[in-house]
Amino acid sequence: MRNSLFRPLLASAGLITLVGSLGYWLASGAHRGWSQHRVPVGQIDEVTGVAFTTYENRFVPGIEFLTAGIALGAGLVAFSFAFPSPQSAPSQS
Amino acid sequence: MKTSLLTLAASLGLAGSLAAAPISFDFKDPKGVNAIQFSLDSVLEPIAGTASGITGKVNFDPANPAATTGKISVATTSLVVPNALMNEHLLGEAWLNAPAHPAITFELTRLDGATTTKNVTSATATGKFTLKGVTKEITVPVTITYLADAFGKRINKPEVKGDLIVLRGAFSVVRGDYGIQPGKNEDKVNTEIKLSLAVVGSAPKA
Repeated sequence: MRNSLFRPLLASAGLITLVGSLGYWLASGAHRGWSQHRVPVGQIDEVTGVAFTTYENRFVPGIEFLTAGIALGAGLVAFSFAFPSPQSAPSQS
Repeated sequence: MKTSLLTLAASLGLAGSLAAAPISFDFKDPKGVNAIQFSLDSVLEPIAGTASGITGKVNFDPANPAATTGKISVATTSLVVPNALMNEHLLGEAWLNAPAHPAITFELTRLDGATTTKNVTSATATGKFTLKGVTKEITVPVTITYLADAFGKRINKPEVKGDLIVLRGAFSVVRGDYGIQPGKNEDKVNTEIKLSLAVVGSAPKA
């Protein structure tokens, strides 16, 4: 692969990672705590009035997921600058 | 003579009912909803979860609540928090060490200041609380709600006779007192563990 392609590819991958992780976090409820691998659901036992908790097995990304996604995305974008841009890359003949 | 015999029989029956044995309530819930809730303040958000592996028996006499005795156990491995990695750490050697200490127990030694209004008894329970192998005496304000003939309704089989009690209480313990990371990580995880319970005991009648 030509070196000049690394920069746009890495930058694109970084932006996709950054926006994707932010979008996934927002779409999943923008949970500001730690990621949840099971989600507590409060219920009431009708006869006794006892409140109890059941768990739904689904993943809710938390703040550390968002942080890792943004850091990885930003890192990829930053790393892309280590490669020459397609315009400035010397033409290979 | 006949009247005297009837009176005697009635008196004996009344005396028998007054001296009725306490009812043994089993806290292994047939509906599987019994759980203790726990919470510790921590960085970002409280670490909150439930422990559902509850077993044990409480002997409760509706006519004499102060004579209540019993023991409730919670399987340590049944503790659940929403984050899987946190759950692993919680049950691990550094925190609860679940393999070495498979049960958390409370054994009631006495019930003080019992007052009953309708079917609800309020009292202060004193007992031996064991966590991570360390046993300490604690007192817990509790309420005991006696639900006569409610067992069948709860399991959707009204033809099955039996009673229920609902035991409610809340208390706190200091984790360091029970050998849980004493003096460690206090800037990240609070030393106080808040516990609350609302559990149902069943006494089906044969």
